[in-house]
Amino acid sequence: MNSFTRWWEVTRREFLAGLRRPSNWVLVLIVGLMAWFLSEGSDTISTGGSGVGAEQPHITSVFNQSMIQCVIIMVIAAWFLAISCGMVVIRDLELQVVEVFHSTRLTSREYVWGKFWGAVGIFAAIWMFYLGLSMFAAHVVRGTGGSDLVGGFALGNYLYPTLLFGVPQILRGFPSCSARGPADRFWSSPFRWRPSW
Amino acid sequence: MLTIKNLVKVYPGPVAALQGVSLEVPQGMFGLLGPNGAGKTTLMRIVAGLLEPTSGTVHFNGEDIVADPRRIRRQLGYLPQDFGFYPHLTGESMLRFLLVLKGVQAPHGVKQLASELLDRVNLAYAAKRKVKGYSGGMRQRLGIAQALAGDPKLLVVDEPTAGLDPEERLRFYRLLAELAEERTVLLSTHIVDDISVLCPRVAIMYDGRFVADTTPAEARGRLAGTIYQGVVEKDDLDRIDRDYRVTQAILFEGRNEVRIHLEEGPPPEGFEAAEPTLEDAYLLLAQANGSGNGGAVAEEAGS
Repeated sequence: MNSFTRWWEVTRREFLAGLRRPSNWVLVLIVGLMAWFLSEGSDTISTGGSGVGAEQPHITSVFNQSMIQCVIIMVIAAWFLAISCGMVVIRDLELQVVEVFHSTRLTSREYVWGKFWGAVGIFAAIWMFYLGLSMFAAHVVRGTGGSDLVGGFALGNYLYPTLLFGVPQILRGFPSCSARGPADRFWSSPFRWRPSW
Repeated sequence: MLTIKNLVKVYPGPVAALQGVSLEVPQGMFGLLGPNGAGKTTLMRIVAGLLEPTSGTVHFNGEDIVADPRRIRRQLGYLPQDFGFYPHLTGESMLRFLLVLKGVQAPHGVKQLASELLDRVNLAYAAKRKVKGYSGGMRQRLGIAQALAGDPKLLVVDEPTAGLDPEERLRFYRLLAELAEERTVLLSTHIVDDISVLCPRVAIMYDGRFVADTTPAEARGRLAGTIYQGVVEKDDLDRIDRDYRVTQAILFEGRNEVRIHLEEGPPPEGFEAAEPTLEDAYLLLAQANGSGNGGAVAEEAGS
């Protein structure tokens, strides 16, 4: 049993525990509903008297996906992410499992990174679900109706915003929340992350 | 052999939890007795490599635990005083998780080893039940199972019988006694019965210091002929307490069953000589260290 095995075991357990967490299922519901209804194309962004969107095939555009992902991550996922990450270590402390863990060969590094990637894995899975549902709703459900708002399918339109905006924000938010969570306890963690917006 | 030399631990405050304790623990069972706050848990955590001392050394079979705590983990089984498990996991899953973290060699697989350990602590019947449904005693047994994993050469158990019912306590005594035949077991407790039953040697701690390092038989022997027992009415207890050194006074059916320590002179009327117990010795030490008097008695009882 080497270091990787121990790290992987902590990661796997954290991921499985995350699947059981109600807040994550609430997030799944929220992003699911957003993916579904945003694919209708009834959303517009207006500034003063001007507007974009409307009768353009913008829903599946890289611009629209970038904007939506930024907004969803910042406004919605950040809340769940901050609480989830801030709680990973606190929960273990409150369950008093840490003392037993540290009497094993598990190192602090393996433990913290295992917790980190386990929690990241949950959000990655939720994000995969969001992207998958977005594609399905836009290109399969709406696309078959001949909507003028839906362009042709291009994986890059989803992938680039995720890699450029989604992943960096999540990876930036997780460590700060994980580190600040035990120090600040529950409620202040989301606000700790807010300045980094 | 576990060797502790001049161990000092000062917490911020400052609070001196350990004030230069030294101890040699041979193979077998060794008891650490003391009241809450005496420094037992601090000592246990340092021995387990979980806490860094302010100064001093701890060696186990020649390995320096303070300098390299990770080395001891391969030989360590540790049952903390306060511990928990993931409530959503089954007992078997939790144990398998800990076996992986401990890096235990399992020729027949981790699952098989987990089953054997659960069987050893009489928890096989609840292996598939979630930990959140376990009683306090069952959790304690699961804790013991993880401590036994990997055939540790040093077993550190902190208040292990707290929360166990009498039947489980007896079963645990038997298990610990078996384990102590081929390894060093350091047992910390404030329950005198645990020490009386299990430990051929005991060190008694107060305020971060060892005030006695003895055997239960020695401690009892030093008090031979000095312990008297009698029953007194409630109103007489104050007088007895004032005139004699009372070690125990238990109210039973409205009357006090009192034990006193008396080196010279006749005992009070109605009192008869009684066999000294380790509890008498311990309580005399407690009086000596708690109230600041009776130093001579303390020396007699413990050293």
